[in-house]
Amino acid sequence: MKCVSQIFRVGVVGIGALLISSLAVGQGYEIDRVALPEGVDPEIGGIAYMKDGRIAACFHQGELRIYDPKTEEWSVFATGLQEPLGIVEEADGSFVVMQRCELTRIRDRDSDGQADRFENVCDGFGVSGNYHEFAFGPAVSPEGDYFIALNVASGLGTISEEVRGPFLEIGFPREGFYSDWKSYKGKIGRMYSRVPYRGWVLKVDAKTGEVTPWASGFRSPDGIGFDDEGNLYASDNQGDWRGTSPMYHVEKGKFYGHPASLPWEEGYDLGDPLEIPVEDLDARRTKAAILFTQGSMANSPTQMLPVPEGFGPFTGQMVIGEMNRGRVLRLMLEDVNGVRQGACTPMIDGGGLDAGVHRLAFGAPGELWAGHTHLSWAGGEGLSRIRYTGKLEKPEVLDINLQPEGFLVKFTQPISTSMLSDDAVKISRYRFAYQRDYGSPLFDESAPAFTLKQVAPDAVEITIDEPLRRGFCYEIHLGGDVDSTLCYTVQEIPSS
Amino acid sequence: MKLSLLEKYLSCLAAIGLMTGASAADTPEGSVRTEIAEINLEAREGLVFYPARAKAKAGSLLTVHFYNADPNDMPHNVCLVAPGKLAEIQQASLAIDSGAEARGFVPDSPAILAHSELVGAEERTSFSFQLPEEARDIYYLVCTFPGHSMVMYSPLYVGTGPKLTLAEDPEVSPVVRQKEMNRMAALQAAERPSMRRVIMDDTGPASILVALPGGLNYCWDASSCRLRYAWKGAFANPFPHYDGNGAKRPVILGDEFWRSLPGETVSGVRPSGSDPVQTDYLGYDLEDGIPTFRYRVNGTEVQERITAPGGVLNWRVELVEAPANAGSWSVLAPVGETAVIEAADSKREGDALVFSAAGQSPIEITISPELP
Repeated sequence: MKCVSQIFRVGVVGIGALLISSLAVGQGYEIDRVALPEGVDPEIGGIAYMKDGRIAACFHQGELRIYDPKTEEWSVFATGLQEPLGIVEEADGSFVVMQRCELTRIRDRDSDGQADRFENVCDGFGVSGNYHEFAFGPAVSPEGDYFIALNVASGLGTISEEVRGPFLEIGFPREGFYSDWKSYKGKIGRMYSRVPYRGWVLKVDAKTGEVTPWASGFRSPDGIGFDDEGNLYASDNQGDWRGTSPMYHVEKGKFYGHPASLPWEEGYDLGDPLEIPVEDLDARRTKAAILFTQGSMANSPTQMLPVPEGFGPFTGQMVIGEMNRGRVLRLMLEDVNGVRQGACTPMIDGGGLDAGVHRLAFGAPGELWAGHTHLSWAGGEGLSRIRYTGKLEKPEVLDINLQPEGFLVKFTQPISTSMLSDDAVKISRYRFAYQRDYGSPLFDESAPAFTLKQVAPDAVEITIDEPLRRGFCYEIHLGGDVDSTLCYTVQEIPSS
Repeated sequence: MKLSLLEKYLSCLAAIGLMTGASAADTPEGSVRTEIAEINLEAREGLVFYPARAKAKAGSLLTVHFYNADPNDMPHNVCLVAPGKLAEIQQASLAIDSGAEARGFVPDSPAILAHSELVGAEERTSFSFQLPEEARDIYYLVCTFPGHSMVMYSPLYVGTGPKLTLAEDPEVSPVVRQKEMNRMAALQAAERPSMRRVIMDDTGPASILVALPGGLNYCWDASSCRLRYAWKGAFANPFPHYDGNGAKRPVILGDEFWRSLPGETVSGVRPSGSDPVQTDYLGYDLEDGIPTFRYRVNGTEVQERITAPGGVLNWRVELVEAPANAGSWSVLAPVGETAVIEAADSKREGDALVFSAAGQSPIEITISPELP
C-alpha cells in the first residue's frame, strides 16, 4: 500500500578532507559526520567531551578512542571493554565507563596516552548472561556521585549456567532456564529480573563504590541524566508496561511501572511480580514526566542533557536523542502541582544526521556531539557534530506551559498572523494503556475544538473547548511560519 | 513539498483506513501511529551498499536515505524490489533499451515497488514506501545501474530478521560475504597481547579473554576472581556476539588444554580450609599490554599475572602485604589430562596447591600444554 512516495534532495553544503560531509539542516543547526579510523566497528556506545576539547568515545567492540577535532585524528586509549554504553571524564583526567558488568575507572598513570589501570568502581549488581541486560550511565549528580540504570532480561533469551549475584527463587524455576528452553519460553514473563537490581536505577558512591538502590520499575532505561536543577531523569523504551516510550523524573524509593524489578525492594512480599494485579501496580507507580508518542515523536529515546548557553535560545531546557531516526528532541518541563511534566518536540531532524542518536555531549560553545549505535536494532553509526549556526531561520516554540484550560505557547520571536489562520493549528489528544502487552495503541483519540488568542507578539494562548484530561498526550501542530509539532503529557492540571 | 509530521501521520492513517474523519470522537478500539522505518543506505567502494542488510517493521512507512559515498565517481540508484524478485530484476537491469537512461536505468517492472533517482558521487536522495501490514518477508534494495545489480544489493528483512551470520546469509551480496570471510580469516592472526571482555556461556558473565604472545590464551573470571581455562592456538571469534544483539556468544578458537572447576561460587585463591570466602574484585593493571588482576580475599589483596614464556603458561599468584600470621593458602589448580601443572614451594592437596602465605608468596605455577 503506497502512502507517500516522494523524492527529495538535501543539498550538500561542503566536503571536508576528513569530515565526510557537512549539511545544513535548515533550522539553525548544521551537521558534520566525523570519519572513523579504517576498519573500526562504527558503533559508539558512549561519548564525553574532555576538558582539553577532545572527544572520548567508547566503541561496541570495547575500545576507548579519543578524537581530536583540531587535528581530525583518532588515537586508541584503551581496549578490551565489555559493551561500554556510557563514559564521563573525572576531574583528574580519569574516565569512568559503564561496562555491561561493571562501572570502571580507567587511568593513565604514566601519562603515555594509553590506559594502564582499570579499577572496579562498582560491580554490585547481578548479571545473568541474558543478552538484554544492558547497563547505562553513569550520570553524575550535583554531589559528584554516579547514577547508573540497569536493563531487565528479555524473555526471548535464557541465562548462562553461571550468573553473578544471588538468583531470585520467586517465579519460574532456574532449571527451566537450562532444560528445553524453547518449550518454557513465554512462562518467565516478557522481561524478567532474576538477579539483583535489574530494572533499577542505582546510586554509586564515587569514592567508595557503595551501591544505594534508588528507584525500581524500569525496563530498558537507556538514558539517565540530571538537569541544571539537579533533577534526575531516566528514559525508557516502549514495550511491556510501556504503552509508548517514556521519560521519568526519578526520585528515591519510587516505582516506575515495570513490575519485574519489584522483588529486589527491601521487604518485598508480593510474590511473583507477574501475578500482581494491574490495578495495584497502577496505584503504586509514578507516571511519566514525558511520553514520546511512538511513530511521531520517538520510538527509543536515549540520553538527555541540559542545554548550555550558546546552543540557541534554549539554555536550561533538555535535549534527548532518538534511536530510530536521525533526530534530537527538545524537552520543555515544568512543575505542575509539584509534579514534573511537560512537552517534547523534534529539534534537529534528519538533514544528514544519522539515526541511532545514542549518546550526546555538549562541546565547545554552540556544539553538540552525537555518538550513534544500533546493537543490531534500528539505529546508526559513527560520530556527528551538530553546530548552532547562530540564527534560527524561523520562529520556534520557546516554551509551553499548561494552564487550567489549555496551553500558553511562547515563541523565540514574534509570529506572523498566518500562524493563527484556521487550518494552521491542529490538536489531537490520546492516551496509552498501562498493560502487560507490548506497547499500546492510541486510545480515546480525538481532535478537540480549541480557540487561539495571541496574547503577545511572541505568545499564543490555546484554550481547549473541553476539560483537559489527566493521563493524556496533547499533540499540537503549529503551522504557518512555525511549522513544528509538540506533544505535552498532562499528568497534572493546574487549578485556576 | 513538505508535510508536517502530524499531517503525514494523519494522511497515512486515513490512507490505511484507520481513521474515519478528522473530528472522530473517542475511538473505542484505539489506533496506532504509523511506524517510521528509516534506513541510511550508502553506496561504498567496490559496488557494495552499507549496511549489507537491513530490517524494518511490517506496516512501517519506510524511508530510504541514500548517499552515494562511492569514491570511484560512479552513479548509483536504489530500487526497492519485491520479495522473490531479485533475480528477475537483476536480469531486467541487464537489458538496456533506448528508454533506459531516461528512466534512470530503473527497469520497467511491477516488482520495483519504489525507487530513488540516479545520483552521482557525494549526492543524496530519499524515497519512501508504505510497507504492508503483516509482512514477514525479504525485500531487496538494489542498484540497477548497468552492471551493478548482480552484487550491489542489500536484503531488507521486513517483519523478520536474519537468522544467519553475515558470512553465511545467502540473501547477502556475494561481495560482502567474501569480505566477511576475509575478516574472519584475519582473526586467526589476533594481535598479541590483546583482551576481549564478553559474556561466555562456560564461565562467569564478567569474564575476560586474554591472547598472550607465544600463542597461548586464557579466560579469567572477574566474578569469582579466578583463572577458568586456557587454550593454545588461535584466539576467539567475537563476531557472532558483536554482529548480533549479544545473545550469541564468541567462539573460542584453538585447542583447550586446561580447565578449572565449574561453578559460580567456587573459590580460587583462599586461606586453606576457608570456603566460601569473600572476594572483592579490584580491577587490573596493564604492563606490556598484559593484565595483572587485583582482588581481595577476606581483606588480603591478591595479584595474579599470567604470561606465556617458552610455550607454557606462567601463572604468578602474589599476596600483597600478607600478615605474618596468614598461615597457608591454596590455589585452585586441578590436574587435567592435557596439561602438566608444576609449582615450586607448594604441595598438592586434591584440586589445590597449598603454600605458605608469609614465606612462599608469590608462587609461580606452570601449566604446560600436553595436547595429543
